[in-house]
Amino acid sequence: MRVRKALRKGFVPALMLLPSMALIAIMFFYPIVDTIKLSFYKWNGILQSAPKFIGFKNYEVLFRDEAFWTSIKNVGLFLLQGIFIQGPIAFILALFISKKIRGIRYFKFTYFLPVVIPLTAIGIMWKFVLNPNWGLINAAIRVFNPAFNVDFIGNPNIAIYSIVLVSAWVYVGLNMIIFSAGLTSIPADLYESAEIDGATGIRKIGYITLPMMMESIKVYIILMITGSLKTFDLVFVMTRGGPNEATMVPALFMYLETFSYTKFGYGATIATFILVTGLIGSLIANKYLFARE
Amino acid sequence: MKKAFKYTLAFLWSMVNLIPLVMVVFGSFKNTAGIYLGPFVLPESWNFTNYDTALLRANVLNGIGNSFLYAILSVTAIVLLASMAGYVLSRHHGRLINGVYIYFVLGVLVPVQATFIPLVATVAKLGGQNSVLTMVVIYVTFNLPLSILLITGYMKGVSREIDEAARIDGCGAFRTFASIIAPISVPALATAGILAFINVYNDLIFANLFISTAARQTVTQVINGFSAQYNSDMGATFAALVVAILPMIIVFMCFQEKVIDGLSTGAVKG
Amino acid sequence: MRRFACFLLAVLMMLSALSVVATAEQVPAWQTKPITIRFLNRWAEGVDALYGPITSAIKEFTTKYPNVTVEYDAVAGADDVQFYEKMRTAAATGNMYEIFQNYGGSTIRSYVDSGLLLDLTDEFKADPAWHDSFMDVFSMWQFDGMEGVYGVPFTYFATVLYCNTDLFKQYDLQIPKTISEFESVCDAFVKAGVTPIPRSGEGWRWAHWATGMAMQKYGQQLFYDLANRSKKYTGEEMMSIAQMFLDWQAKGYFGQNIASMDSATEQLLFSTGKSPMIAIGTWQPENIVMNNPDLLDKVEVVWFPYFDEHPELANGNMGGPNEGLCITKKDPDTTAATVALLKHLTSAETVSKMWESAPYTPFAITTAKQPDNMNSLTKRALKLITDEKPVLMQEIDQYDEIAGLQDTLRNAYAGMMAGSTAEEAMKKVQDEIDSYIP
Repeated sequence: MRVRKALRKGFVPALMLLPSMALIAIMFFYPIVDTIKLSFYKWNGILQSAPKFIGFKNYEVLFRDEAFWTSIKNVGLFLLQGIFIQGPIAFILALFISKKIRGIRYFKFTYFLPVVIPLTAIGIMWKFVLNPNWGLINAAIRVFNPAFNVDFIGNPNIAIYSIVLVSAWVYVGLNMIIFSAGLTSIPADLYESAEIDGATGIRKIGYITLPMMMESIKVYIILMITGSLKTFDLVFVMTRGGPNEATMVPALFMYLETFSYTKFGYGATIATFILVTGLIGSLIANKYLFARE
Repeated sequence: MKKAFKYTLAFLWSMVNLIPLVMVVFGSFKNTAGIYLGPFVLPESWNFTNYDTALLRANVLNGIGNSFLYAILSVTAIVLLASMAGYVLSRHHGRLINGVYIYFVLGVLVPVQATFIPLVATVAKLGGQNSVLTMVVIYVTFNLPLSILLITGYMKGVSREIDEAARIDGCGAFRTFASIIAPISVPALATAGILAFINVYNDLIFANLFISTAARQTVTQVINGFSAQYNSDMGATFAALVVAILPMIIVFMCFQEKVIDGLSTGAVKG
Repeated sequence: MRRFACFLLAVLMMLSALSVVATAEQVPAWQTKPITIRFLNRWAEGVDALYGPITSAIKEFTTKYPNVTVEYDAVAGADDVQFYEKMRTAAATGNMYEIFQNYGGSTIRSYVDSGLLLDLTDEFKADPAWHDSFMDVFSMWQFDGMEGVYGVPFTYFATVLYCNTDLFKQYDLQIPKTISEFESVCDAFVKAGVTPIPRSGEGWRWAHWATGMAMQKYGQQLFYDLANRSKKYTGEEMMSIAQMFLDWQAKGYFGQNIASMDSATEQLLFSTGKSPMIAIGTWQPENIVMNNPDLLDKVEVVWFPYFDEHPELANGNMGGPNEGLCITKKDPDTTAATVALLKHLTSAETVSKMWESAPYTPFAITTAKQPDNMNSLTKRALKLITDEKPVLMQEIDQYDEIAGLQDTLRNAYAGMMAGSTAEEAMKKVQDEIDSYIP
């Protein structure tokens, strides 16, 4: 009787959960299993051609592949940028817009604007701005130093830094909102009592703001880790991983190996690697960040 | 003094955000030779030939229409499904429910690229290329996890007393959800919806994988293809960019408060 | 009784006569049932002059056979990356186009291996006149170890050197015939502050040039040796060519920041009279006609200068069949309809008409009539090929069996011109070959 009642009670909730879980199971988790399986095969992507089992050979090739290591290094660069550039700027901007200042609508609008523009358009736009011959940045600097001619995207040594900075440009606005949300939830009397104790400016930020915002900061870090591994659109549109694979990122590497080089098994290997790394990275971050509580 | 300094920096940053866009707008009125002359040279004549080329050749409007179609349909489905799931997750306890919650957390952590190849093969076998249904199903699937987590977080903060009151009034689980909890959670639904909308509108890779006919292309595909094809006519590319970006900017301007404030409130509770 | 028998006989004869007539007039199924043919091409609207002609040719076909629908899909862009992506995604999703343009060789070999493409040998046997109407450049659609011809050539080309005689005269220089003359002409231009031969950093530009240089320095055999692995890309032959390009880049022959210059700009620079030379295929006159037709008569077209120590290889270069067409095997009726479409598109009348609308494309159908309004430059370029009978080979990676080798090679060259060394670039290519799992 109790079981039947429990079942009846659980029926509607289960039904409300079912579509979401089923969709994710079929379209998301099941294909992942397939991908992991495929990483042990060689397949040229033609539906009529059967995949050929080759065991761990794809993984051997992967760990010897220079493009692979470059892509990992680049993910690291995105992470670093997130921590040292994007984060701080977003935080400072959040501080700025949390006060009642004149023109706040204008500032909020312009800061958030890049987020609503499709990344593809942003990539093409910045490709033009960074063009060495007639782009804005080179032309502007040439006003002061006529000999200046830097190829921000065509030079393999600096291309990735350019893209990383463009990415920061886009996402600062989004993270600013996330941080400002955390900021506004800090009760004002905390600041008042601190002021009474003699704290000013930066000390207020250090002793009150940052600790109270830990939640938002943690969320930000996790999103950054998973986001860095997912980077695709910007690099695809601006450099396609070149020149010389200098700007290669894992997601793009997987796409190119699969659809340009028709090495579907190898692409699956890269995808599996992204999967495992993403999971491990998030779990580790989770442990360290949330265990502090 | 300090305030002026702050304002200047803030203003400079807003300029950094705006100037590339302004450049593109200016460039859209120039021809290729004019663009080669550099960004500080104004267009010699403010005509709309580039826009002509872009609109006629590039199919941008069609792309925008498609992007909006996929986005609106997907977001509707996402909000419906995610709010239902969020309600259940926020109102029940136990190991089973915790397991389900982790199930969705995995959905956020796991990178979607790991699914491409089998999805491509499956869609092929089912003949689902170039179909609105395929795209909506895919967009919904991959945006559900984050939406569910956001909405669940918010709903957890909605007091149980409201549910109690509803139950006393005779509402079952679903009615409580539909008539009471959901309307209260609109800020979170808005947040999830907005983020999902931006994600779907922005998408390039899924569109590239599953859409090949021009009639169904998204605006991101159109811009990408156009810039590759017309790389010798940069003015037209700029014009295409402007046309592609404009709708989102207009939507953003109209709903600016809702978007930004919605995101903040949603982000706090989530 | 006899009268009845006669009557029966008469009826039988009539019936059999009728049935013979009926079967003789029986229309092939593909001409009546609804058929859809999807055509992937490289001539896109607004970008290629051939878009109009080929779509009208298709319209002629569908007007004649209204039950057939042809969906035309084109991806232009000089860098064929996006085109290949579309083609490969279609194959991967089991949705290959019924008829598609391609360059043959390694890029379609895997499709042939998988039995996807139609072997046209039977069609040629049934219609020898059609087979003979093509230039004998079927090589890129035939594969060693496999019988059969899997495509037909549509256009052909060769890479040549175009020189702006006005600019040469202005600086008192002669058109170079040998590599050493080429280098001194370039040095003179550089000294005078003119970029002698700007070249885009796009990978295919360098893969093409490397092919031509390999022909002129080492000859055909190198191509086959690389394909059967008896020679390596890290060997001295390919390395010396790569290093030569880098040396020339260091001397300033190609201009600055070529990694950010696309091939459309490169062509435009020559067409608008800003650069004295361009080494590119026989499609350059089209660019000149569209941008600066007055230049046509001031341009001289010659073979790229030969290596001083190898005059015997002077008549070798990159070229041969350019775009070709292949048919994917589908159900018999669709395939039959597609074959009919192919024959229509490659018929002498259709090609002659297309040629008139775009009088700067060398078509590989010999029975077509060369248009009278063909510009002088294209005429001279084509004459180079027909009169001097060069030995032409397609891009060096095309003879390999590895499907992705073309992309690897092109990317390696693009990377090299963007800043890596010849060793690094060639090693990348060789690594791809060495790690290949057959």
